Amino acid sequence: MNQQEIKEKLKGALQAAIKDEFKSNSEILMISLCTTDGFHIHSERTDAFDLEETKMSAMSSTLFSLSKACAEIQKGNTLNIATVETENTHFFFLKTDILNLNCVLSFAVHSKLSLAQGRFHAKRLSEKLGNLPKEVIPG
Amino acid sequence: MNEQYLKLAIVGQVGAGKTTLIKTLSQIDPLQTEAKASQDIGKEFTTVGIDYGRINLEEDLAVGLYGVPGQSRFSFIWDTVSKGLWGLVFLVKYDPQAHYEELKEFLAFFLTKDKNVACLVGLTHSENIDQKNLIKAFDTLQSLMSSHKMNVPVFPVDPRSKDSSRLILNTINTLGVREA
Ligand SMILES: Nc1nc2c(ncn2[C@@H]2O[C@H](COP(=O)(O)OP(=O)(O)OP(=O)(O)O)[C@@H](O)[C@H]2O)c(=O)[nH]1
Ligand SMILES: [Mg+2]
Repeated sequence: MNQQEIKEKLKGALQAAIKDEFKSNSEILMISLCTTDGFHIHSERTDAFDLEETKMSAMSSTLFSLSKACAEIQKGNTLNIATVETENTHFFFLKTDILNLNCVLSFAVHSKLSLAQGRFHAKRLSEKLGNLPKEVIPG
Repeated sequence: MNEQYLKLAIVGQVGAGKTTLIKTLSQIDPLQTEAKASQDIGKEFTTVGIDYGRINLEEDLAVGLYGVPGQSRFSFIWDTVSKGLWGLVFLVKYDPQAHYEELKEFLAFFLTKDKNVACLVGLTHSENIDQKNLIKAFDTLQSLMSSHKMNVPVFPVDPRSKDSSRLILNTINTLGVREA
C-alpha cells in the first residue's frame, strides 16, 4: 500500500468506528473528530445538532485549547477531558492522537446518561480511534 | 483607586504576527492557545483560540490585549471579542501580490459593530521591502480602508520589536476614546 492508500484506508476505518459508536446508543447525540488546529475529519449527529461542521471543529479546537491552558495554570497538570454540562446534554472533548496527527474528539450525550456513563463511551471511542492505525496499517 | 480597563483586539491573517505582538507587549505571562498545524501554513504552530495579554499604559489604566484568529471559521470568537472594544489593530502580512482579501472580511465584520473604535493597520513582514513597494502596499491598504469609509493610519510594524510594538499601542492611545 502506498501512503495515499493507507490514508484512505485509515480514514475509512475512523469513519466506520465513529458511525458504529454513534449507532450503538440512542442517547449519543453527536460525535465529531477534528484536528487540534480545527479541521474537520468526520462527524455523526442527530437532527437536534443543526451545526455547521467546520464551525463545530473550530469551536472544539478552541475550547480544548483554552481548557488545556486553564488546566496548566497548576504546575504539572495536563488536560485529559474537557466537560461541558447543560440541562439536557453532556459534552466531552478528548485529546485523541492518531499516529502523529493531534486530534480532538467531541462527544455529546443526552443527560439521561450520567456523566460517568457518557465519559466511559467517549473515552472508549477515543482509545479505539487512537489504536486504529495499528489495526489498519500493515507491519 | 479605580483602575480603568480597556479592550484592544488584534486581528489578522495566519502568520501576520498577532501572537508575537501580544507576547512582546504583555506584562503578564500571556495566555496562548497554539496547536500544531495539520496543514502547511509555513510554520509549525497556529493559534486556535485566543491570545491574551495585559499591559498597563498608566498606573491606573490597563489594556487587555486580545488576539483573534483570522480564519472566518473562528468568527464565533470575533463575536465575543468585538464587544466593548476600545481599539482595533489589523495586522496585515506584506503580500507582493497585494491580495488583502481577508482584511476585507474583517473590516466588514468589525466596522459594522462600532464606528468609535480606534483603528489602525500594521503592515508586518515588511522590514526588508524597498520604499517603492512599501508605498504601493500602503496605497492599496489605504484605499481599501477608504472604500469602507475608514480613514485610519497604516504603518509598518515588526511585532518582534518592543519599540515598534509600543508605537502601535501609543498610536491607538492617542486615537482612542476613553469614557470618563
Ligand atoms: N520577519 C518578520 N517576521 C515576523 C514579523 N512578525 C511576525 N514574524 C514572525 O512570523 C511568525 C508568525 O507569527 P505569529 O505571531 O505566530 O503569527 P499569528 O498572527 O499569531 O498567526 P496565527 O496564530 O497562525 O494566526 C513568527 O515566527 C514571528 O516571529 C515581521 O514583521 N517580520
Ligand atoms: Mg497566533
